[in-house]
Amino acid sequence: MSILEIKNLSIEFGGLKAVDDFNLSLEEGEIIAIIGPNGAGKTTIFNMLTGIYAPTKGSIELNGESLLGLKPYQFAQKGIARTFQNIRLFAASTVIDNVKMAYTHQCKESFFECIFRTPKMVEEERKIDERAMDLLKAFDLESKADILAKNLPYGAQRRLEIVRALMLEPKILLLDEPVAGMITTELDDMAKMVRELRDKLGLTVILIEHHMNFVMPIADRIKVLNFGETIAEGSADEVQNNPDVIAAYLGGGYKNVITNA
Amino acid sequence: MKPLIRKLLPILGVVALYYLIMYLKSIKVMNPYHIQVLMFAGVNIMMTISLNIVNGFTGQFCIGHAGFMSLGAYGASIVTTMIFGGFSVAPNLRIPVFLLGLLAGGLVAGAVGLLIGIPTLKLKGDYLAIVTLAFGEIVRATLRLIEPIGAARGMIGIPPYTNFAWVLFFVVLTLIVARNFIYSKHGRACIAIRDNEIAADAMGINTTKYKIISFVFAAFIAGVAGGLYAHIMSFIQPDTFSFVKSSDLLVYLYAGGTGSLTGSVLGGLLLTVLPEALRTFGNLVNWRIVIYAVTLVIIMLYRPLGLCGGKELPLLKINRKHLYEKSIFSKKSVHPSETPN
Amino acid sequence: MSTLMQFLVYGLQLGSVYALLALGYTMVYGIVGMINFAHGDFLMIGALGTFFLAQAFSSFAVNGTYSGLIVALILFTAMVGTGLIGVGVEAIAYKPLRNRPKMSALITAVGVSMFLENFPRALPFIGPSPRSFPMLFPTKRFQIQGVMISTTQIIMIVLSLVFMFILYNVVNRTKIGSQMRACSMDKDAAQLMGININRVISITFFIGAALAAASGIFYASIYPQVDVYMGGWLGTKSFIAAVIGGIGDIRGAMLGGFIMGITEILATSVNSNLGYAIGFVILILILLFKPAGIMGKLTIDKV
Repeated sequence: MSILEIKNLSIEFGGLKAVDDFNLSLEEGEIIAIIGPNGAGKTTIFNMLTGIYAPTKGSIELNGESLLGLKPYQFAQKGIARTFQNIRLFAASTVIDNVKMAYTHQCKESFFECIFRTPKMVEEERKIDERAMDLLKAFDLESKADILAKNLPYGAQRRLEIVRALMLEPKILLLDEPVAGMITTELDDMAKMVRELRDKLGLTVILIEHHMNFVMPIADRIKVLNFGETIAEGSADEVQNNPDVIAAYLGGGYKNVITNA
Repeated sequence: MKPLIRKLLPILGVVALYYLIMYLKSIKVMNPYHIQVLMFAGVNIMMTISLNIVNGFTGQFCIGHAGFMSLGAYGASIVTTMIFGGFSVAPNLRIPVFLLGLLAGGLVAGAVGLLIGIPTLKLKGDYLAIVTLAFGEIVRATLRLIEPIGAARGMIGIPPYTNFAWVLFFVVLTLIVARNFIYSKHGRACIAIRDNEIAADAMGINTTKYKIISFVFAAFIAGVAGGLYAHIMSFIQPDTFSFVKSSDLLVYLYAGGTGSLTGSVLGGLLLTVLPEALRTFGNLVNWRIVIYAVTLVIIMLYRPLGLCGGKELPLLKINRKHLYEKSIFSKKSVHPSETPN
Repeated sequence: MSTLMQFLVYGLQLGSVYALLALGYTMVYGIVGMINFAHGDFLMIGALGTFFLAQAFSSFAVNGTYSGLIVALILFTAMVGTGLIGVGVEAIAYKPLRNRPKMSALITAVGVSMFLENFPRALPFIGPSPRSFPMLFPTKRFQIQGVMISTTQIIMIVLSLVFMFILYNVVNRTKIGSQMRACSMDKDAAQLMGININRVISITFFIGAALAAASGIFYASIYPQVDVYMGGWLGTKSFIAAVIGGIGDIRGAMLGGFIMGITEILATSVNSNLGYAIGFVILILILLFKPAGIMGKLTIDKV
């Protein structure tokens, strides 16, 4: 059974169809990439999958349960975590606090335990702390735990966003252009990381990316969007050689660029 | 051993401060007027901390905070003065009645905070500011209408139960409770909302819920502070808690520094004491508020984060490594506890 | 019926004061994106300035009444003077904070407001005591079908409508108006398109403060008493009027002003405290159902 079932997902903004009949059936542990030129509706799909936009039509089901009508925080609590294209960290907080903030929902401290700082609460805090620290260690950020998120270098901020999303203990992770603005050496690291997320944590990943070199080797399936419509779907090879994709992506005639980009 | 010292030292410090002030009073260095100014400073510190929780830590914008103070003042005074008849209550019951009154004040303010918070905290930024301003004015106008509590003339004969020791006690209690709040899941959720509301939402934080929690918590503190105030003055009237009072509080908060409890203490203390000190320079009486205003503008222009923006005294912080205190003898934490600013 | 009409006249009169003041709030908010809490004090400066101007011109007055030309001159001088003070305030206190968080600008505005109220109060020749405002406009009263109307009321309502008409056309039909609209949409882009945003903001403050001065003179002509604190709560109410109408929208400010004025007069006729609170109640109700005000459009955060 598929973990996430998206059917006929569509949204209109004042008559403009931003996404039209998007379908996706996601198996557990799959890595799916959504690619397409700017304005194709990729981030809009993410915004619908996280409850920020309400779709005009269609359904989203997580393990058979419909998520339509829920608030963004409820999507997150149900197990869909995301990162943002333009990094949205809690900039004025420390790195470890950024991670701990994503644990608010699972955290069992009551209000009065908090304000009187009972031993139980302190113990709970210590556990959260260790959890956050473990995750930071896994992503090479533990030495930066106590500096402010805004003072991190760019690549580390992208990683921190992923760590933060992982703290939610998600079933599905949505990565919105995880390597945007990164240099080539960082690309390989990120690709390795995404694969590890799946292999070690059993996560299901949907990622949006322009960078073909990054997407091709790690994605099990690729969906190509243009003007809100799905124009192709399949393995990296299939998509790469699809004439519609080449036309949409590059305006035709630039096949070499796609393979060498 | 060390953690124990760190826990006891602040308490000893507060006790020492109390006896120092009492000593200064007994040798007539400080007169009752000075003590009263300090008590007002204490109330203002509590109000500033309360406002800081909403504005500084949750990033919402309340500019009608005096409304909660007045609800607390009236709530507490109704209990001590109208229900228990002021000083006619048996002497050994005075303290319990006083505390009951303060609790009632806090609860009234908190309940109204909840009532107003649920519909309004969905509004963003400036609009929330305006609604809270309106809230403060509606409270004032309503209090002016209620005849049994003296309407616009106000309420008199409130027993002056509040003394310096009580004020000090409640200021310290507020500081401890506020600090614990900030360094907990609730505080973190609030700060996340302040730093990036969309991201907070996406990280599973029910933003409306935590905004309401912080609002009600702050309202409760403001209510208790209002109760203390009423029992210093022994006279309250609706117009005391006008927008002027709210904007004074904003000034304390932003001059002291948002997001810093140290700043609230400093802002509330300095800006209550300084104007009173300026009062003693005869000729300057009229220029007092002008100087005050100019200082505020200069602080905002040249130190926009306030005096202590983003900085905190170690006492008012809970460092991560303190969580691991039990295992003092194991490996020491290698992470710097100071964050660069 | 005639009582209701009578209240409507008073409401329009008070509403024109609120509307003129609300325009300043709305323009500054629309273009600079800040709530200028000190805006109400421009009203006070206008009214107080007019008082002193009228004193200076008192030798021209015959039996305490001024000729139309002198009144126009006084009005003009007070408006231009207040406008210049507005420009000065912006340049000194607000300009350095333009790219800082909204809160700092707002707190600064609170400080400026305290200064503008207390500086004249501290000056020995002004001081805190209220002064009675001279009769600048003719006060002939006449009755139409049981409704009393005075010439002052007619002049006020007509003049404020004229001001609003001019402003509306300046914003929508002139070059500086289109620059203002560009700045309100995107200051950075406007700057890149060669618009001198400093100039646009200065002009905005000038117009806002000048209109505030006019509203101050009108207000003092209805309730002939001026003091240094009069701007505070009038400002608050006009600001609320601007928000009810939809802050940032010029038509909204006018509409909000008149709504405030009329409801306040009607509510005051029931109970004086109700008159004060009614505006705030309307505000909360409107914001709950239409969070950006009557004319305002809600902006959506882009993710």
